[in-house]
Amino acid sequence: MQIRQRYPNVIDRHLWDAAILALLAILYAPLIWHWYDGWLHKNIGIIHEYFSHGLIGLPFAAYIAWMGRKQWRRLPDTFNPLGAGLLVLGGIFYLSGLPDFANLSFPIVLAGLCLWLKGFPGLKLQAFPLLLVFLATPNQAPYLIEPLALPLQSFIAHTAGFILIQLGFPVTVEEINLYVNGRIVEVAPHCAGLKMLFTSLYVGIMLLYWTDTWRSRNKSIFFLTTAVLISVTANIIRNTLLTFFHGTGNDHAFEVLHEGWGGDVYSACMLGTLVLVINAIDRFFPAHSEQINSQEVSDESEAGQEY
Amino acid sequence: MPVKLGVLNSKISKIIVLVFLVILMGLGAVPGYLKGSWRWQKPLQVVQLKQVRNLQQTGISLPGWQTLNQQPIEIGGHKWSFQAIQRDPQNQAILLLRPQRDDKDMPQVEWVDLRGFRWWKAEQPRQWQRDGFRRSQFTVPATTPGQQPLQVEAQYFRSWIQDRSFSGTFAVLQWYAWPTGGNPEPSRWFFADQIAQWQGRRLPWVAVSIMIPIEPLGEIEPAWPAAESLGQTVQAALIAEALKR
Repeated sequence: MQIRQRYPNVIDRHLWDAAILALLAILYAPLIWHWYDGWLHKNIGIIHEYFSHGLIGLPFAAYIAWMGRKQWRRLPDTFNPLGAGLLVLGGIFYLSGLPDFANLSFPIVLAGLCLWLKGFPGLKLQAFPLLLVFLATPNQAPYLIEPLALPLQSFIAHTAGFILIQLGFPVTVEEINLYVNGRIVEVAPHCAGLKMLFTSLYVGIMLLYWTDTWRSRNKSIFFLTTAVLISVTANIIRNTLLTFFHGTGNDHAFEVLHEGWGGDVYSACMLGTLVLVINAIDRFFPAHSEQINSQEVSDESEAGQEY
Repeated sequence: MPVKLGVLNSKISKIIVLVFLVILMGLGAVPGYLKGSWRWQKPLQVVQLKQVRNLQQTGISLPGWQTLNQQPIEIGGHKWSFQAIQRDPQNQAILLLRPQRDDKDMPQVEWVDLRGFRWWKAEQPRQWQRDGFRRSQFTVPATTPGQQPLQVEAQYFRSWIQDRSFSGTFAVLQWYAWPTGGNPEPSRWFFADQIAQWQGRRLPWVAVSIMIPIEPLGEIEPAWPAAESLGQTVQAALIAEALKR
């Protein structure tokens, strides 16, 4: 516990922090506005939409950082040279004006600020919100990952084909293509639920943090594995339905589930099941059975730093 | 490494950060606010886009080769140029080109799409069978003095199909061509393009697939000299015209 310093000093300190926050807002508000615009109106591109979990992730990150503001202030002012490096790198990326690099400059500058102002403990304190921001920062990584999803696409296509054949529909599966009644449905990486997979993992991480489950490694791994399984299963069902609609000429239903609101509702339901799963984990594996240290939970201010 | 700071030093470190952010604002944000537009809103423009897209309508003229038939066709939802060419009646080939469509268009699953390629009417959906994949390099000599010869890497394999109305076997050579190189991996174009963007330009790309007819289920190696030479001719012609700045 630090001794309260003189009153003017407190105001002084708030003023500095406020100035830094204001400058950050001036620098990055247009960029983040642009991200949100792209997520809400789907007008930038498929790769940008891979990161639409940022819609909830960024406010959540801001909320966590805000809740930790007292701990932040209690940390002694230290300085880590790595912070300067990150700030300069972020600055160069920002000034490059290239979309992906300007985007990436945001988490880089934030991490640089933490290191510059509070050293490594500062970075540690903000690690989780920084992770949320970083994973929501649009970049081209999905483009590079998509080719690796071919086995997943093939698996989903074959399983959906198998289900449809069991239901008595004449389906031919060739690699990632389903042929029904002379029409083709291609299970593209995007449709294979790579995006849904990322979203469920992201929401999964948020839920782990929110429910404090992340403190137990076993439970976290179990939950994230379940999240992946749910996501893949949901996509098999979705692609089965899509193929069924397409093959039977039900184009309206196809459109709704493929790109319309049906797809969004479907995703929302899937994420809803994640909440149910984590609640179930909490209920069936109560905290004391794991090596969770109750003293940490009771001492909120200490626990928050353990990332 | 970390240094504990006294009150004065901690103030100085904050001043440094503020100055840094103000400089960033002055150089990066203020021009954006004044113009009302930001450079990061859109990817850099591909200046050759129009001439690259034209390929799909016109195909490409290759020195020493005669075009028998050229037409735009659709494969896997994308527009390609189909071109049947011959040097002499013994040396014929099919040349498929898919040019970049717009600034955001990136090479992706062109090779997978081509498995569904057909120019005849088929009753049953059928795909090309493929085997004997190998990577092959060829060098494209400089066309203008002072230019470096280009290294192109392509995939070379056997491809065949048996249908009621058509059956055939081909030696196939495929790669993405861009002004400074070529490779069948989309990611190779991607990184070359990223580096070019830091120099203020973009690298347009064209997916190229050359099909040389061979004996039914014959070996592809005897066809390699012809494939290599045609590959060099195509990349050189693309650089000289469509991909030229």
